[in-house]
Amino acid sequence: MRTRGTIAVAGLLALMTAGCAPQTATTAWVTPEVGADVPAFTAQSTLPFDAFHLDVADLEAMQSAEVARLDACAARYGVDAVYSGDYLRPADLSRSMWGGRPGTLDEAHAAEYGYHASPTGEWAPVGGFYLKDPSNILPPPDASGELTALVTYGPADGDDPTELTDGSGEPVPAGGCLREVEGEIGGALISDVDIRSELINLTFEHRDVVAAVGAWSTCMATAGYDYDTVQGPAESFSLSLLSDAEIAVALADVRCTGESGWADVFYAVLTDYQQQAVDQNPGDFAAVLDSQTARLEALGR
Amino acid sequence: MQKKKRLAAAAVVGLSLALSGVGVGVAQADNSVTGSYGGLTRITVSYTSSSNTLAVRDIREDGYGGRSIWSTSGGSTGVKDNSNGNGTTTTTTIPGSSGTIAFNACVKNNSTTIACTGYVSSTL
Repeated sequence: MRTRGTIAVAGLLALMTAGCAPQTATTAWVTPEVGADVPAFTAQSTLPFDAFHLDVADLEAMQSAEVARLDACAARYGVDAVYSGDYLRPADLSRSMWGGRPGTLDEAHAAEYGYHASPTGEWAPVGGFYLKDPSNILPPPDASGELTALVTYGPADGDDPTELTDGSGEPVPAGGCLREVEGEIGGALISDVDIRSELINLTFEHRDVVAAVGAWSTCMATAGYDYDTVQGPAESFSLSLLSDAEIAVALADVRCTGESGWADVFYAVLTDYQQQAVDQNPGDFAAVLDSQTARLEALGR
Repeated sequence: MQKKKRLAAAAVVGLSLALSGVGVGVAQADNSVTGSYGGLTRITVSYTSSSNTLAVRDIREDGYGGRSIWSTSGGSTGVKDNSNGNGTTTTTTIPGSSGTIAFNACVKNNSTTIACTGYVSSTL
């Protein structure tokens, strides 16, 4: 049984072309009821939105091809920029974090890598609920960042557009290399990252999730660690190098996650919300997958 | 190809001098990084060595907040958020007077992080 609530979330899907405002819609959500027998959520479990994304290998191929075009565009203006993407594995993973779904970290990984990425496993730039998106392509955060920003995004207010020119003397156009490459590829990606984010936030407000997270927090405090949020430990060790202290916290986290059952409750509620979103707007989510498929094909031309 | 000026030259020179020990007076090792999402810049994070402060600035009216995660070579770590809206800046003092700091810039939406840069480094 579910309770019809009055919670509304604006902003379902975003057309990810530089400069475009997100398309918005408002959806009323029915508050999920969590029964006594909550199914276990594991690293192999899936969520309803998963069906509307290409697999990771295809997303990696897509971003790799797009980044190659961006690198070449920047080079035309004399900027040696190596772009990165959410699906492009960094050469050095020492500061990268484990990229699995929070709450599904297992004891073996925690004992060896804490919250950090293993050499061959899933990774993310930071811990916690980091939402990877195929539209996330970033310039390098280097010391010459302002030139990189100019060639990437184009001139901003106050910039001299002739500051960088190509071999023909042409300045960086409005929108920079991002817009140029988007134009070459054709067809913008449609992103569901906003609705994914909003539903995670909504799920954390659910009373049963609040109670389960509270039990986890109490368990962690008993182990000697004070955290109000389940994503707090992994977030706090982001950018650090692996340490014994981190491994100790991660092992306590795995134990407290199991004892409190917060992840099972959380993903039960999130699954319900995601299914509601799909049921109300099936065409929108099909469009997410279609846009990824079309882009992958266009980049392969 | 022409480059009429190098906008970030001061930061690069400052870092070089600090590392080589050639600098006069207080070594300047300021650095900054810009966080973007959806092709738009949204957050800037900067470290100022003279005041030992890390600043997180929200540069777009978009409903998103900002975050920087930082760590120092001395073992200190931290997370600095800015959920105060466009045009606002939050700051934190970084402990230590020697060594380096690594930090990044992230776009936040409450419990979730939806885009993060790699990290940049500065001398403290």
